[in-house]
Amino acid sequence: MTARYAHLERSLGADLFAQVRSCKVLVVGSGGIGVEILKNLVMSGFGDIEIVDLDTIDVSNLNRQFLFRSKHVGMSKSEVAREVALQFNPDAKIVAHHGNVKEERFGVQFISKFDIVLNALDNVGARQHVNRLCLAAKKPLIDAGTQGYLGQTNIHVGRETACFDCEPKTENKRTFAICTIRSTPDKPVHCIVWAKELFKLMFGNAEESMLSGTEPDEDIADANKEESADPDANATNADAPSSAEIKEDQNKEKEIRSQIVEAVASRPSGDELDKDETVRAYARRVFDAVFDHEIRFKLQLRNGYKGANKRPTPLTFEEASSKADEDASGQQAGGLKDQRIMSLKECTDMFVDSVVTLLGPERRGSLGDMVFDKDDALTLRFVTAASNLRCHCFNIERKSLWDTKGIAGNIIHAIATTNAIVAGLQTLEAIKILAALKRVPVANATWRAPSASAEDTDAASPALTANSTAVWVAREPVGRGYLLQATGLPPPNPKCFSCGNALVTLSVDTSKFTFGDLIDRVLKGRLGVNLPSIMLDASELYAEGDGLDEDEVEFFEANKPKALADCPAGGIKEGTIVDVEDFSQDMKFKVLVHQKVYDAEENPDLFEVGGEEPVAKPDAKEDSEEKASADKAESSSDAPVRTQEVEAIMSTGKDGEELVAVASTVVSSSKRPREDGEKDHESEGSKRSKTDDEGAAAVVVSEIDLAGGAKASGDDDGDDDDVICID
Amino acid sequence: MADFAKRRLTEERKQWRKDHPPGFYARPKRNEDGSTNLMFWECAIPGKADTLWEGGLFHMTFAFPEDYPSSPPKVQFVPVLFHPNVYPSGTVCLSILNADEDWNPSLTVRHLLLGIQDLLDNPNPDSPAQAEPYKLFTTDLEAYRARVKIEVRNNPPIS
Repeated sequence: MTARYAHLERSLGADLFAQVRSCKVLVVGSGGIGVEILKNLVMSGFGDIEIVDLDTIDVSNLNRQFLFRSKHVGMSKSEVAREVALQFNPDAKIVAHHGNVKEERFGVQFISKFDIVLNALDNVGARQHVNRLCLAAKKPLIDAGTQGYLGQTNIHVGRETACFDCEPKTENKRTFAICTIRSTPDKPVHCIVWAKELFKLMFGNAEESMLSGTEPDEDIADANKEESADPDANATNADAPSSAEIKEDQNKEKEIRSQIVEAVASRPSGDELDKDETVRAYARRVFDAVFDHEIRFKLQLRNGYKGANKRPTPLTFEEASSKADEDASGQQAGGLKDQRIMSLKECTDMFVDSVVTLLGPERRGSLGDMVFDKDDALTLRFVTAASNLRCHCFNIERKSLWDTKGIAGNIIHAIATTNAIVAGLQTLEAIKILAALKRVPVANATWRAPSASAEDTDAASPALTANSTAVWVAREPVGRGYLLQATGLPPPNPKCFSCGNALVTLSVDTSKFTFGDLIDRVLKGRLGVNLPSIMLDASELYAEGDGLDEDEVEFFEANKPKALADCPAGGIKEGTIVDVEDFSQDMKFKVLVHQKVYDAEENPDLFEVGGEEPVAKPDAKEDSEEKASADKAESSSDAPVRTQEVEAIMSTGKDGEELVAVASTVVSSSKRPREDGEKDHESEGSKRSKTDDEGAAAVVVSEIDLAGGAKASGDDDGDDDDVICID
Repeated sequence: MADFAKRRLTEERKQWRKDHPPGFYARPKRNEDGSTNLMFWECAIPGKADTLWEGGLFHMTFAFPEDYPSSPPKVQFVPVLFHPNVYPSGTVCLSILNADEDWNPSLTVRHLLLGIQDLLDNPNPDSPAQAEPYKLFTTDLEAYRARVKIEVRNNPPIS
C-alpha cells in the first residue's frame, strides 16, 4: 500500500497527497478523454471518483479508449471504465453512473457533493450544461476538448475566471452556395454534398432536395447583374449577355432541371421493381441525365462555364462503363480496399448496383423516407459513386469510400495521443486546484458576489486559480518550439449569459422570425437551453419539460408559428426584453430584442445573438487585447493576459507496469499584476511565450508506456464515430 | 409589475412543476390570445380520501397582489363551494390567507392548497362565512353531509 503511493507522497507532499486521497471528483464522460482521466486519477492516488456516461462501447472506440476491449462492445462505458480502472488501483473508490448528465438526477444537488468536476465530453451542449451546473453548485470545473491534433484544457471557477459560456461558441458548420453545389463544384466536398442531395432526390424526401426545384439558381442571374453593372470589373463587358439571352439561358436551365427530375421520377414501380433489367435501365437513365445531359446542356449556356479554367466534361454511361481505367487504377496499389480510389468503371458499377439494392425488396419500403447515413454502407456507396462520377466530370480529384465517409459525415478523427495529453493536463490542473482549495477555503476566496468587479478579483484575496493555466495543444510547434502552450485564465465576461448578469441581445426581423424559431434555433440551437421557459412581462408564453398538462403543452405549441411581433402579451418587438429560464438547470437570463432585417444570402440564420453588444473585456489591458485578435483558430481565449511556458517532456519511464501522468514538478508564480509590461509577440499568428523565471511554470509529464503498448496511436483506421469539438 | 412577485411566482411555478401533491393542479391562467397571467392562477384540490369530500375536485382561483408575498393571494372557489368558511363570493376564509392573521411570506401556493384541502373536512365553526352550510353544519349534521355529497357530485374530477 505504501509502496504504491510512496512516489506520490514524495512529489506532492503529505498534505496535498492526503487531499488527493480524500477529495471527491466527478468525471463527466468516459470516452476518449474520460478513460485517460480515469486512469490518471486512480494512478495519482485519487480515491473517490464518480463517472457519468450515457454511451455504450462501440467497436470504433477500441483503438483509443484503451480501457475497453472487444469483449466489452455493447456494454456501458462508465461501468466498464470503472471495472478496468479498478484493476489499475483496487484501492480507489469509483462509482459509475450510466446516464445522460442532463438528466435531473445529476442536477445541482448531485454536483454539490464533489470538490472538483472534470469534463471529458464531446459536444458543446453537454459541456455548457455541466458548466452551468458547476456555476450553480459553485464547483471548479476543469474542461477539455480535442479535435484531431488540437486540444485544450481550461479551468472555469465560478466568478473568478471565465466560464465555458463567457466566450461565445461559434458554430463550425460549413455552408456552400447553392450554385456551387448545383453548377460549379471545385472541391470533392461540393460533389459529395451534391451526391447527398441526389440521394435525397432519388430515395429520400425529394422535395427537400436542393436538386428538386426547376427554377434556375438565382445567384447565376445575380452574378450577371453585378457584372453588367460594373464595367471596370470586366473588360469584356460587351459580351455580357443581354436580358433576352439571360432569359433564354434560364429557360434552358429550367429544361435541364426538369429533365433530371423527370429521369428520377421515371422510377419503375410495382412489379417492375422486381425486374433487374428495368431497374438497371432506370439507374442508367438517371446516370445519363445527371452526368451527361446536364453537363452537356450547361456547356451550351452562355453563362454556364464561361471563363472557367476547366470546362466540365460530360460522361455518358456507355463511356463510363466501357472505360478500363486510365487514371485511377494502379495509382494506389495495396492499401485497404475502402481507402483505394475507384476507377471510373468501378464507380459506375457501384452507382448502378447501389441503386438496384436501394430499390430492392429490403429497402424499397422506406422509399421517400431514406436518409443518407455515413454508417449505412449502402447509402455511402451510392454517395461515393455519384460524387466520384461528378468529380470526374468537373476534373476534381476523386475520393475513396473511406475519405468520402469522413467528408460526408463531417468526421474529424479523434487522436488518442491528444486525448492523453489533455487528460494529463486536466489531472495536473485538478491537483493545483486542490492545493489552492487547501490554502483558500472556498467560502472566503472565491464565488464573490456577481457585482464584484474584475479589479477586486485581482486584489488581495488569493484566488483558487492563482496557479492554474489553460493549455492549448497545437499541431505544429509554436513560439519557441513547444507543442503545448499555457495561458493565464481570462476573467469572467460580465455580459456572459451564464455567469454574468447577462442580457443577451438578439437581432432579428420580428415580423418574420417566429416564436418557434426563437425557441428551436436561438435558445436551444445557439444558447444551449434544454427546456426553455419564456416569460414576457407577467405572461408565460412558453414552457416545456415535466409537470405540464397535455392541454398546456398544446397551448404553448400554438404560439410557435406566430411571428415574434404577433406573440401574445403585446408581442416581441424592438426593445422587448423577455425572461428565459431553463427548467433543467439553474439558469436564467434576459433577452433584449432588436429589430433588424437580414439578407438570407449574407446571414442564412436570419438572426444574430449578442451582435450589437460588444463583448466586454473587463480589466483587459490594451496589449493583451490586441494580440488576441490575431490568434489562430485554436485559441478562443479572448484575453490571454499572460503566458507561461509549459515544457512538455514525453519520456519513457523505467517501470513498465503502469501508465502514469503525474506532475513531477509544478513551479508557478503567484498571480502577478498584468501591467508589468509583459507582452507577447506574434509569430505566424500564434502566441510566443516569454520566459520569465517568475512567471514560468515547468510541467513535466512523464509517461510510462504499458508493456503491452495499450495506447493506440490515433490516426489510423477504425475510428470514425467520435468528433470531439473544441470551441 | 412588481418584479419581486414575478420572480417569486416563477420560482413557485417551477417547483410546483417539479413536484406537487397528487390530484392537485395549479397553473397561471391562460388567455384566449395565447398569453398567460402569472399573477392569476387557476388551481384545484381533490377532496381528501376517507372524508365526505372524497371524489370531488374543487376549482379555485388565486389572485396574487403586486406586493406578493408580503400580502397573501386572494383565493376564491369557482363556482362557490358549499362550505361554512367560504363566503357567498367564493372567497375562502382561512387564517393563513389573512395578512393580519397567520399569513407569512414563506407560505407557498402548495402550502395554501394543502391548508384549504384540510379545511374542507375541518370547517371552523368560529368563522362562519356562508349562512346555509354554517346552519346545517351546526344544527343538522346529517343534512349537511347529504348536501356535501351533492357538492362532490357537482365537482367531478377532470377525466
